[in-house]
Order: sequence, then structure tokens, then C-alpha cells
Amino acid sequence: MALFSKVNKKIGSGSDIEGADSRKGFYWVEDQKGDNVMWRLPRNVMWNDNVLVREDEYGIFFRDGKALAVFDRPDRYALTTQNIPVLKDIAGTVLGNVQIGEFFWVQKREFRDKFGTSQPLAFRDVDFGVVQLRIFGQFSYKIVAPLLLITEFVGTKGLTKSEEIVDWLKAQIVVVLNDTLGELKAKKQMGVLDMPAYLQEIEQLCLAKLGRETEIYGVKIMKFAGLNINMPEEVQEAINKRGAMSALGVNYIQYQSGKAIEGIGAGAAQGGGEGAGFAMMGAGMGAGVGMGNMMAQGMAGMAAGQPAPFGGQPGASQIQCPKCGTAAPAGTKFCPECGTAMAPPAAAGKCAKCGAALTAGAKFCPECGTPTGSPKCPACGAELPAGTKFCSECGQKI
Amino acid sequence: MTDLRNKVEDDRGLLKKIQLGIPGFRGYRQKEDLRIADSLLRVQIADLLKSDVLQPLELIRERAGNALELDMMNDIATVISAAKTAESRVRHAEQGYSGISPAYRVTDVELNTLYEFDLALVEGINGLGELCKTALASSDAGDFGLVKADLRDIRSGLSELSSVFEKRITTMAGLGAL
Repeated sequence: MALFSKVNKKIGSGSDIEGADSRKGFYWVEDQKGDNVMWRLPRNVMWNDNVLVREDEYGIFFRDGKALAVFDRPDRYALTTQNIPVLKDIAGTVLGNVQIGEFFWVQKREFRDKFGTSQPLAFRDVDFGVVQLRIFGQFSYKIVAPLLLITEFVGTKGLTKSEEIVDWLKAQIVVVLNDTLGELKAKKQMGVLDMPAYLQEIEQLCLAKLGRETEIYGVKIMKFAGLNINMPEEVQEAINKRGAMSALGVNYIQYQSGKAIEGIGAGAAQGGGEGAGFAMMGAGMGAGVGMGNMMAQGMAGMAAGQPAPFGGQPGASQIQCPKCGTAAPAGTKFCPECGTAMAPPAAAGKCAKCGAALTAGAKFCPECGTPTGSPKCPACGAELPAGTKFCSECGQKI
Repeated sequence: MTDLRNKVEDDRGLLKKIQLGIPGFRGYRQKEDLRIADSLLRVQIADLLKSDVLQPLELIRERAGNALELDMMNDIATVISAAKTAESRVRHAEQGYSGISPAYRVTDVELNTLYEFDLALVEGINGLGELCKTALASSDAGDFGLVKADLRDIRSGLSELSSVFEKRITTMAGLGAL
């Protein structure tokens, strides 16, 4: 007894009755509480030992290896064993052994922690192919069945840090998250771009699934919060590019050309020809391989010092400056090199309404928007020559 | 439901019986026993809330999760959260304690009122339990449209329970115990 008392004092025993070895009131001392989910009374229970179970604790009484009671109500409990002082020593001498009574406390409160994927999860996405996702978040858990926790999970260790449980929970969470995202992709066609809009729902789905996995061990995940699904940098960049292209109404090649021009501008501003050359090289590398003739033309234009305007139509028919011969995309009104008015493309007739010159193949007048095709009679549908005022078939006024 | 006040009285041990015979201690013992009875009753009510309301709701969440009913998940989470709050409020409510020489005394009559107040909650919780059962059956049948409607009723029931329990706190304050 005295030995135990000394040990108890050293580790901060719960005994609150000084000098009374036979009748002690034990409680879970603060020093041993903290983040521990469970604590074992560091001595065997004696006859009529009193234990205090607080509002935020469970108490479990084992005697001779059997779990006799789980105290889930706060109170002071007097425990019954055959270990009566003095008699215990006599019984020990005569019978050779004494009854073993153990007492455990388990915390009822919720513990909070963070989880995250140590390795990125490979996710097959509809838009981006295989994407490596990193997932982070917070969760809280609590012990809901202390007896299950002790018997199925931690065993009768003296002191159990919550980290041991947390490590296991984190692994479970990642497995369930992976499974849930896969299911959402397969059954709901959810892509990585949709995920940010459904984070709370995904949290709840995982919560529902995790219940099954953890409750058999007496542990329950109570809450998920701050779920964060991070895409790798290159995917994020691609998303940003896609957003920018969509906002500008251009395709990839046009976008890259524009970026290249920006690079040239910046290079020129920094140091003239050398910078511009470097920027062009960068643009060329950025554009990548296999852009086809369109990009080749655009690059050719850039190499000649006349970059295609951003948003223009690379590869479309080009016109030449009547003065210096510089090639520029069709529609350019002034030569980007010498500023001379560019020669208009061969005219293909005039607008019936405003008389503006029409280019070959134009369907609408570029000035007033009038359709350029032959007008038709609204009454009989006969095709009429441009400028006709009455239908030659039925006489209808046009 | 057994009247726990009688049960606590019947189960008084020798020590408690001696305490009843000591002048000045008798009242303390009796009030303490009433508080114990009320506390036991609240634990039972909280357990009822857990088994009849919270657990079915969690099962509904599981069913909805399995069916990938994304739109429902937040609704269920809200109701579960309300049920959890109600459960812990009932479980850890004030016991009507007053000191040795308090400015306001909490008498036996008032503690009895408190007990009866808590007892009256059982009926409401039974009603909520029925609603949860219906919702669970609908979720088992995969009819989540019906579940949604049931969840609305459960939520309003829980908020009613919460406001009734709020009255208990007001009553306690009126007794001077807070």
C-alpha cells in the first residue's frame, strides 16, 4: 500500500484523503488527463475504494479480468472487492493470490484534430485525366462506447495517448474520402471542378460512411470541417487558363499567341531585342509541340517582327502593306510596320442598302449589317437582284 | 415510467437512513435525493432522445449517403446537430442546487415541480421518435422526397423541445438557483 501511495504521489495520484490508505477517493488527475483518452488507476482497487467519475468521463471497473460496470453518470462510486486491508495479506499468504480490481477512466469529450493525405490521391477526372489530389481538413471524434474501446482497440494499457487513436482515424478518413470521391465520380459524374461546390456534402457523406468503420471500436467521428481539396499546381494552372480563354472567347492557340505577345512587350520594355528574343523563345516553348500550321504561321509572323494581334485569326487570309509589303492578318486597317493604310481585300460587290464595299464570301455588310445575299420576295419567294424595288414575278413591293 | 423519486427513497442505504434521522441533515438528504431522482430521469430522457431520435437520424444519414443524395446531406446534418444539442442540454442540465444558507431556497416542492417538468418532456420525445421512425422507413424505401418533408417536421419538433427546455432554465432562474 505504502509503495503504491508513493508511486501515486509521484505521478499525481487521484487520492484526496491524505494518510488514509484503506479508504481512498480517486479521480482522474489533471496532469494525466490532457489529450489522453484513457487512464488506468495506477494501483489495484481495494475494498470500498471510492472513485469519482465526472460529467466528462466514463468509469470502467474490471475485477478479475471481467468488466463489471461502466459508470456513465457523474458520481462518486464505492467499489467492492475482496481486497480488505490486512485480510488481503492473509488471503494472499493462505491462497497464494489476491483479487485484481482495476479501474479505468475514459474521456467523454470531443477531441479535435486535423487530417490530410500524406501522399496525393490519384483521381481519374473527366476533364483532366488522372489528377493528383491533396485533401486536408479537421475532424472531431469522441469515445462513445468505452468498453468497446478498451476491449477491441487499445487493450488495458495504463495510459493511452489520443495520438494512437488519431493516427488510425486519419488513415480511415483518407480511405473513406478516396472511396467517396470515386463513387461521386462514377455515379454522379462529379469532376474535380465540381468538388469545391460540394465540400459540405462530401463531409457529410464521409461522416455517414465513417460511422460504420469506427463505431465497432467505440470511437465515433463527430464532425468534419474545413475540408479542402487541393489540385496540383499544373491542374490549377490549366483551370485558370481555361477560365481566361473562356472569358476572352479565344481558343488555346490564340491564347498562347496573346501570351507570347505579352512576353514580347515585356521583353522589349526590359531590354529591347535581347529581351524580346528571349520572350519569343519562351512563348514558343510554352505553346508546345503540335500546334499545326496555324501556330506555325503565328510564329512566322512573330519572327518577322509583326505579331498577330491578340484575338485575331492566325492562319486566316493575310493582306500585304501596299507600301512596305509587310504581311498582316486580314482586317488590319493600318500597317503595323509603317502605318500606311492597308490595301482592302478584293471587293465583291457593294451593299444593297448602304453601298459599302463587300469582301468575297461576306454574308452581311460590315457597315450596316444588311444580308449580302440576293433578296427574296416575301410574297412568292422568287430570288431578286440586289436593289430591286418590286418583285418581277408577282409585283410585290419589296 | 417508474417514479424515480420513490425508487431513490426505497433504495436508501443505512448511511442515508441515519442522515435522515439527524436534525438539520434530513432536509439536505431529502433534497439531495430529489435532485438525484431528477438527474436520473434526465439521463433516461437523454438516452431516449439518443435512441429514438438521434440514432434513427444517423441511420437516415447513412442511407442518404449510400444513395449519394448530395442535396439532402446538409439538411440531415442540421437536424442531427439540433438533436445532439437537445440531448446534451437535457443530460447536463442544472440540478436545482442551493447552498447552506442561500438567499433563495429551492424547496422540496420546487424540486418536485422540476421533476414533473422533466417528466413531461417524455411525451414530446416519444412524438419525435415516431416521426423519426417514419422518416427512417421512407429512407429505407428510398423515398427521399418524403424524408425531406419528415425532416422539416422533426426539426420543428426539436426546436419546440428546445424552447420548452428553455422554460426550465427560466424556472430555475425564478427559483433563484441560477
